[in-house]
Amino acid sequence: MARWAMVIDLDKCTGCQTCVYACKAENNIPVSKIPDRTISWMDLLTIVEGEYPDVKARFIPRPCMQCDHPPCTKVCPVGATYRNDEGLVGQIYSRCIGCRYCTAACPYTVKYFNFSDPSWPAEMLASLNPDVPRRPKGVVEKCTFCHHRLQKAREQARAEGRELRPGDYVPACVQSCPADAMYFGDLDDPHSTVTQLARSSRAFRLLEELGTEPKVIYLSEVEWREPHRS
Amino acid sequence: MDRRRFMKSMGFAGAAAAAGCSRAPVSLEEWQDGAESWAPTVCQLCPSRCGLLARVVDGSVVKLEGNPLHPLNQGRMCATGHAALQSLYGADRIRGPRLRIGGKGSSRWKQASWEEALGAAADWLKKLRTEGRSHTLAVLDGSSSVLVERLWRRFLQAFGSPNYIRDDPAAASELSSYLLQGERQAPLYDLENASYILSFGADLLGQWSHGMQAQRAFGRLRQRGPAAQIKLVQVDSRFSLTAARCNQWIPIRPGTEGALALGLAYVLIREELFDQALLEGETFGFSDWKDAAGQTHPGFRTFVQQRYRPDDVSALTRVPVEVLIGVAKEFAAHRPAIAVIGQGATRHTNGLQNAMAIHALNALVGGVRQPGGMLLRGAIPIKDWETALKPTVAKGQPRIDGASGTLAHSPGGLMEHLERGTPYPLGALILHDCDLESLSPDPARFRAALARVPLVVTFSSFDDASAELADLVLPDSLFPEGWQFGDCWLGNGASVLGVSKPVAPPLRDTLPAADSLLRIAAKIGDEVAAALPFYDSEALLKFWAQGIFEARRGMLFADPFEAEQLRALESRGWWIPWSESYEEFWGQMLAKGGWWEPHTPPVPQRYSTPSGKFEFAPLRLQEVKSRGQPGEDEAWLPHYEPPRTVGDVQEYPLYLNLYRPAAMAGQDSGRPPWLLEHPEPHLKTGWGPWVEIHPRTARDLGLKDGDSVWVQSPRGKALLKARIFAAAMPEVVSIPLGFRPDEELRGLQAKEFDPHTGRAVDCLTRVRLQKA
Repeated sequence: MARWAMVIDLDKCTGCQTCVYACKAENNIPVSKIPDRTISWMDLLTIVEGEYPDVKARFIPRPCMQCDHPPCTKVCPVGATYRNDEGLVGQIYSRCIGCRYCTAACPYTVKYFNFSDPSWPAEMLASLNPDVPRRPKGVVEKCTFCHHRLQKAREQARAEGRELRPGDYVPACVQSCPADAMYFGDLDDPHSTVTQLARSSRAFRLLEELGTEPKVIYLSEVEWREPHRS
Repeated sequence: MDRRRFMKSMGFAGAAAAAGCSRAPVSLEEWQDGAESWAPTVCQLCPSRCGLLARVVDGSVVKLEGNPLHPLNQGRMCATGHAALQSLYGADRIRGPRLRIGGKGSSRWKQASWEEALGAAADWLKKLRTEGRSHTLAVLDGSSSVLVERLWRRFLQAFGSPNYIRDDPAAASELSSYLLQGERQAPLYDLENASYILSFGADLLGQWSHGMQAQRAFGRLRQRGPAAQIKLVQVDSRFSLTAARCNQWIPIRPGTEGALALGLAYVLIREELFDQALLEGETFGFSDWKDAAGQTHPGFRTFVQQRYRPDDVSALTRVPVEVLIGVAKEFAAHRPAIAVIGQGATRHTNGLQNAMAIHALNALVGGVRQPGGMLLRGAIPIKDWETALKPTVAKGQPRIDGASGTLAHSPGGLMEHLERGTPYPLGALILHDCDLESLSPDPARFRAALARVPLVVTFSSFDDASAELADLVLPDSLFPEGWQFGDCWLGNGASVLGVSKPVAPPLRDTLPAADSLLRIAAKIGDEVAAALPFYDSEALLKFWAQGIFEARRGMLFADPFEAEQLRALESRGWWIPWSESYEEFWGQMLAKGGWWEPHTPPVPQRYSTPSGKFEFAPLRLQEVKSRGQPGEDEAWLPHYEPPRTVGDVQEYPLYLNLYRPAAMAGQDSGRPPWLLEHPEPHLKTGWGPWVEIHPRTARDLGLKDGDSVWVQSPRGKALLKARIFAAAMPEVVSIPLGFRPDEELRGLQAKEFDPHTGRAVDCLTRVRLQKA
């Protein structure tokens, strides 16, 4: 069985937000006029430290961590969120009752609640991705590592009478990154890129001390920057 | 797949596959709802012109991705491309051709059919011809495409008008190339192969004309790790994305970038960190030189050492002396080194001078026409027009914009002449892909001037300034809806031509601009129709591509392994034909997405300057003297001129920086909601512009984050939300453009017509803030 993971090299990330928009386009994310209600399955966290002229900015793309010990699944009263045997934490929209316990439980704030019915101008309805359902008001949603693409890739491989190959299945964000800063693959495959990168001395995960065992691995920035001399 | 896994997977793909839920899991055919296909297309949202693949389901584009075979983006695509889906299927797309009725100034419009609209344009243009006034047609083109220019020039030449006017924001950079190198093209930067990239106000990772190239080069640069010691240094008055991600940010007083470049040149010259043989032997004007009358003029070497001592430059630019000297030494030590001319340096009234100074810096480190430096565009061998045109009816008529000599295009000149009605009143003006608001120092004046032109035609796809002022709107289709050609170049000069057919039917009643033009030409008849005997863009492209087939060079898009094989073969003088017949070639070209030339022929070492060499003292500047330059030696050489500044420092203590966020980089992108929602990563704010202020500046004014604040310049005022940003320069406030309405914000900015570049450029505008 595969265990899908993502590696994000923060040294190469340019902060361009392509991953954010690729995800929105792929997953039919609605638009919100209220900033606090904006849904971004892939969010770009920005941390600015210091004050002019000694400033440092960090950009951290943050999808769902797809934890191996997810806090969200443990609190869901109806089993709408669960972890499957490939390590993907799923969301069953039709079961979700909108209690938002999972949203509160998630330490990474990757879960988004639909406070209103998503709406698109009539013209845009035809351009929504038919592989991804539109979520109604009252349910929670989050990054799925583009699971619909895994399903399609599997079906494609089966139709062609072969195994799933590395590179057949890649989430929309990883596919688009112009700086090649994102990698995706199977952590249970000892030869995959993600397995090798996960062993890097630069590798770390967010909030590891909580024991969630996230499967999004970051490679920290290399110390490039000159301190400002004034 | 077993039943249990099937049921679990239903949780993810609910609605779309609901129809399949009640049936047992079966084959791929029954799973899909609609017919799906992937087809190549060419993005036209920015000058990069990446190759994309469009996923089309039941006649609608549901996703855009990068074309893995396109050598520039290699399967990747930027944020603007993703948001293009919202532009494509946007509610505010112009529905179809429209005609103004009731004369100029009337606000009554009529929805017209294409026959009627194109007929109206053709009739008017035919009238101009029969009245002997064909020279009174002008075309203003902001597309930055070499091939689009070629098409318009052919049309105008056959029609009988000299007035093809290009609106190019990189005009200063291009002009610096023309003066110093003799080439009328803005430089290409070979970022992938550089060891040291010194960017003067070019937001390479954000809003940059070749953003895709820069992003990919950055990824590769970082991939090589710190041992490779490749540095990116950003000179910028704002903590842009590039400033955030570079190795060293050099905050600089706005408008003084050219001075910094000359200060760096001082160190290089003084410490003799340049290639003496190269600069003394192979360039003109580096050493002192004698003119035709026998008078000696100081060369760049003498001039810089006299004028641009680090202490003085430091005081002017506010860049500390140690930083200046440190950067200069590193720039010289890490070869190949490249200095990039960006908007930050060229946007002010001293833009051309700044561009020349930065350009000269590249020559000092031997980076001009060398790998890892500034390179030239390769050729795209499209087929030449088949019939030569008779001498034009316009012979003897001057250009309407007053451009001559070194200046090839003057959109600002057009505006000035329109107002005065000289040298002749304009009979018709065609606007293609232009940002009208950037063309004139005073929008109210140019609106009044445009009202005097009997017919203004635009191809706008959205309701922008051009659409508002035009008499006839012939809305352009967006790129997936029509035949496209995308001329672009890699950093090393390799030429690429993306070609695609329509992937989806147009959402509205629109036509690609090239098709409109060809149909108008056909309707006009005579030499005009004969000059462009193509029914539509497909016919035109098929004609052009024949040249590529016959040239027997390069290759159609293919995977990197094949590309490398062919590059290796071509570099040894071999070439493998890819198809037997042109029809086969054409079919393959459309299937793959285009053609390119991986092996770039060697760059010519002879310069098209009067001396045949790189000129530090451009001999062509002789004619510029007549435009009001002083006749001093300074006028010949790259030098620093302070930018014209508007606003007294006591009354208006801060500098205004109007900028375009990366998300708004695509031209004519119709403001997709996703990009409006969240344009800047460092500030969680959107749906309208804000003013970015340093914490100390804000504190002094009693401002907190989110407060409403009046931003006032000597030209106007605007009410905005304050956003406190610790990385901002204390004396600069930054305001993003791209939200509607822009006019109010642009009204803050003082502008002036720059006769050197022919454009309206920014004056360094000072502002003050007041809590509302």
